[in-house]
Amino acid sequence: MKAPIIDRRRFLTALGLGGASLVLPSLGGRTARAGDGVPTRVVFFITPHGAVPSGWQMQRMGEEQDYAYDLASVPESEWSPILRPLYRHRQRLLAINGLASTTSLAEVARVQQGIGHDANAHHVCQAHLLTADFALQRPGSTAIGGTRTLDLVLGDEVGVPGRWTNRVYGYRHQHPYSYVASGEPAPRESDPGTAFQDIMGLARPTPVGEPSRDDRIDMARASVLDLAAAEYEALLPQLGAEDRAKLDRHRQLIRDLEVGLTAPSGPGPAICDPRFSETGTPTQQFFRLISLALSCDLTRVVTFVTDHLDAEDFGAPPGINIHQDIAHASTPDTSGYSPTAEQQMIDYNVVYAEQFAELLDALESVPENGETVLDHTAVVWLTELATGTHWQHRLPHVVAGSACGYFRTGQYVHFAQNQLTAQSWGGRWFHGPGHNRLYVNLLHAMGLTDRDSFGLREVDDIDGGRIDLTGPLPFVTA
Amino acid sequence: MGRSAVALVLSAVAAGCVGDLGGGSGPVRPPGAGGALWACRDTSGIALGSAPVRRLTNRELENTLNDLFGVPLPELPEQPPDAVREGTFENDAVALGPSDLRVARWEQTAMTLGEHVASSPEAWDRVVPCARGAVDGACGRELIRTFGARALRRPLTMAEEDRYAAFFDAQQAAVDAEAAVQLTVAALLQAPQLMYRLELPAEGAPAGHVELTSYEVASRLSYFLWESMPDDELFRAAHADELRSEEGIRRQAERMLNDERARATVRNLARQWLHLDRVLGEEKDPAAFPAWSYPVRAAALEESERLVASVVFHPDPSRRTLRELLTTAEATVSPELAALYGIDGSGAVTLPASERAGILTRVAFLAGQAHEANGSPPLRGVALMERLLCEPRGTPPANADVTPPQNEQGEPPRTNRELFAARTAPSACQTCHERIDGFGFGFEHYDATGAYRTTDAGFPVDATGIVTGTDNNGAYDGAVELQARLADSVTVHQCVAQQWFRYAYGRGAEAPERCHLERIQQRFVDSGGDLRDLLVALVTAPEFRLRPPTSPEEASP
Repeated sequence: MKAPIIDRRRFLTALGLGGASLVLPSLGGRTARAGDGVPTRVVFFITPHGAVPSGWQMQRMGEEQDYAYDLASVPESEWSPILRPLYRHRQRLLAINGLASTTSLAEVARVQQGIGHDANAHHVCQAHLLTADFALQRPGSTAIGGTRTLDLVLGDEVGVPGRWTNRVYGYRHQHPYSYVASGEPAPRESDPGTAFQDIMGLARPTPVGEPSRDDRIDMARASVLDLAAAEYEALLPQLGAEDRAKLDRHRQLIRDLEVGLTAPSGPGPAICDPRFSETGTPTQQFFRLISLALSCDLTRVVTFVTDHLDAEDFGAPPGINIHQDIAHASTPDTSGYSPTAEQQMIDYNVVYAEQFAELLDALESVPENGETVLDHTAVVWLTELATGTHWQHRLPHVVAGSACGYFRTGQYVHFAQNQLTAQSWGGRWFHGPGHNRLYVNLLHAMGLTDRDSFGLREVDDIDGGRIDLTGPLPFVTA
Repeated sequence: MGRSAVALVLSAVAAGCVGDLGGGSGPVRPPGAGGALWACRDTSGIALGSAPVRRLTNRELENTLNDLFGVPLPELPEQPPDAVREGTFENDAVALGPSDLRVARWEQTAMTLGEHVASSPEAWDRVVPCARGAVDGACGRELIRTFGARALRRPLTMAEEDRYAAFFDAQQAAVDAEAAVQLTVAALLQAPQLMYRLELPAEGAPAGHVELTSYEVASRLSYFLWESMPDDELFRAAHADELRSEEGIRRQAERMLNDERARATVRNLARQWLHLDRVLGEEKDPAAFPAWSYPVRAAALEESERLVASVVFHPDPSRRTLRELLTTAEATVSPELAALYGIDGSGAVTLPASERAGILTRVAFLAGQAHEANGSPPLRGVALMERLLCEPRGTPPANADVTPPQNEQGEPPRTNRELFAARTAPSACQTCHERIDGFGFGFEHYDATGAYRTTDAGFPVDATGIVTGTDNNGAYDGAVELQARLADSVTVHQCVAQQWFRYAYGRGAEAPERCHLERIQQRFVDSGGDLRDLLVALVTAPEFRLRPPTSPEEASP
């Protein structure tokens, strides 16, 4: 069952596109925009297996203190191997070392106490990456996301009526990262061509002159949706609470689609080029698509899950199993540690860093209000785990782009490692602030300044006290 | 054969019984090695779990559209994937919900199919109850009544009919009559009753549970046994209200199980239950296994899916058993697969029974649960425990070395088993690996691709192991003996029934329905592990035609 959702050529023809970038009146934003009229956006770039501390960190001082320094002060040759491909974007980078998936550590501790069933580090961390909340744990099932994820919540808040509130693109690492509700993964599109058809599907041309019969049938789509939504509305009172919530979401999504088909065109300053070329790798196609989607204001939140690499992509012997042979042996604290595997895992991450830099290139190439789309976006590099050996602390974060001046870019920030959660399986790990505090920064960057937490607000520490997970991170804002 | 074998084990277990678990009115079963085998004491009461609305899976949607319109359909948008994770059941009710993308692509699907009805003479004749050119309001209402009842899987209420009729009339006025047909079809396809399996409050519902309507039972039956909408005969039975009795359901179930659609369902169930499609993504070391290719992987999946269906629907009823599935040497193989199995010929064959008896000795399982260069006793053991013993996989400690062990240069050669045994020798590992490897080492005769071997690293293969944690524990030598032991285990039968129960209900068994599950398991054991009968047992249980109340008002009418 596969076919284009809309006729792309028909759309482009209707817009009279001749190849150059142009102002698209029909695609201009229609709702409140941040600051000087330019929308703020977020892109999540998610890689599997974590990084390698020895190949990522650019330490200047000890572990036990917070500090920050100017990235521009470091010559390229002194950049860590994994971050070095980002050197050309140094003014727009914020490298953050030392956050922890504190909530997933708390979940592992709970499972050890008999609450829940699955403590697999991959599963739990995938569930927590964008929820920072306890996973959905069911007997006989693995742990999966238990709440609506940050990308969808941000989309709810800053999405434009009639446009996509968020998009999830890319590949499958294991469990999904994005959830629309507890246990319900958000749809992820892995084909860039189909993703393009989807993203443009709502941008329909207005018939010129007297509408044809086909035009009139097409215009009736909104009436069909209106009837469908009304049928959902008639049904809802007969359902129990959980079923009602699910079908009410369906009803609302039909209404949203109806708005997308009927919303009047409005003026807007966005400059975009709604062309799509199926050249280059699928990842490169996705980067162009993300750039297009943001610059045309077709969505403001995108999650990109990176493709798996083959051993050949980073110079390792063919046939090697990245997960089993390399990732699990990549830090010296594991009994199977191998310096070769550590180097291979660094090389592996370098490839992703190069991809990340390409994504930044794409966003930087689109001018917007005297700056670029990258300046008006926070592009956040997240990893499933801190390391291939399942560390859930010392997470490597990179935020690129200042999100319209919110983030203080051009610096490397280290957070002190001085907290202990109740999780003690396999050793007691000191760690830094919870990763969900960075999410509070992102909420603030998107204008949601009344939010002081995302996900769990606190968890137990090892001494029976509480670890506070509220408030934005210090040092990272302008 | 199967019946007597399982009965024997039951006798053996009973002989070792040390007494009653105490209390209760029903039969109490003896404790097995892994704890009490049976816990339910109420053999007659209704034991209901939850009944969440279930969105149709992509496969169910595709089958439903094929049955609604007849093939061939026009090209349609691909729906977003269902599965939370590969290797899990895709009809998990919790995970199946709406999303913006699904709603948008379904809208496009509905519009495309509306256009298809208007433009295809065959589709028009199947859907529209009047000739082209003779469409009027009455025809529109009849379309809503007939096509609507099939799309919504029950007759429309008068209020629903009126709403769609008003829409039809409005579109007829705004565009024309044929456009009204096209758009009304598109509207019906977007009705909640099509996308979701809804079981709504009924008149006179008793406290405690609610009896489903015959139409609701028809959908439960058709989506479990066919993964599609009811056919004309099932609709007739629903209309005649024949599906509120065990006998009425049994009659339809027996008919439906003789249909090709049931075979397709069983294959699909088997793929998910045993994670057979994992083999499709398995790359092997090209230097060691140059013949390993995608066609081999696809053939392996086909062979194992087909094997399960051939057992469930075996012409000889006595061979439709779990024992047969775990012991048969019969197979249908492609030439590529025959080469891997080391046999001449292809098609329906009998594999060397000492090497390849049972589904766990086939390439889909063996190569699917393996590393690039070697078989993996932990992967194979854990998969067996997860799928046949219903034991969720544990988590190794964060600093555990879970890379495939291999001989370093200069070391004397060791077998794969010796390498893994050394790796998991520490007592912290043995907590779990004693059991895991007790199963996993049984597969050491099969390399990373599932090819049979008698030596490993120059030494004779040691494939001995010990089954633990079941009611039929003990030593064995090789996967053929291992499976024979599993085939005689009540624990394994219970787990299989539990897995299929999960597929039937789109969720795991819940605490309040333990007695319901145990009755199904008990019947499965008593039947000698008859897999086809397990399907019948699931749909003829009284709970299959009931659901719990959804609100306090319903619970207290």
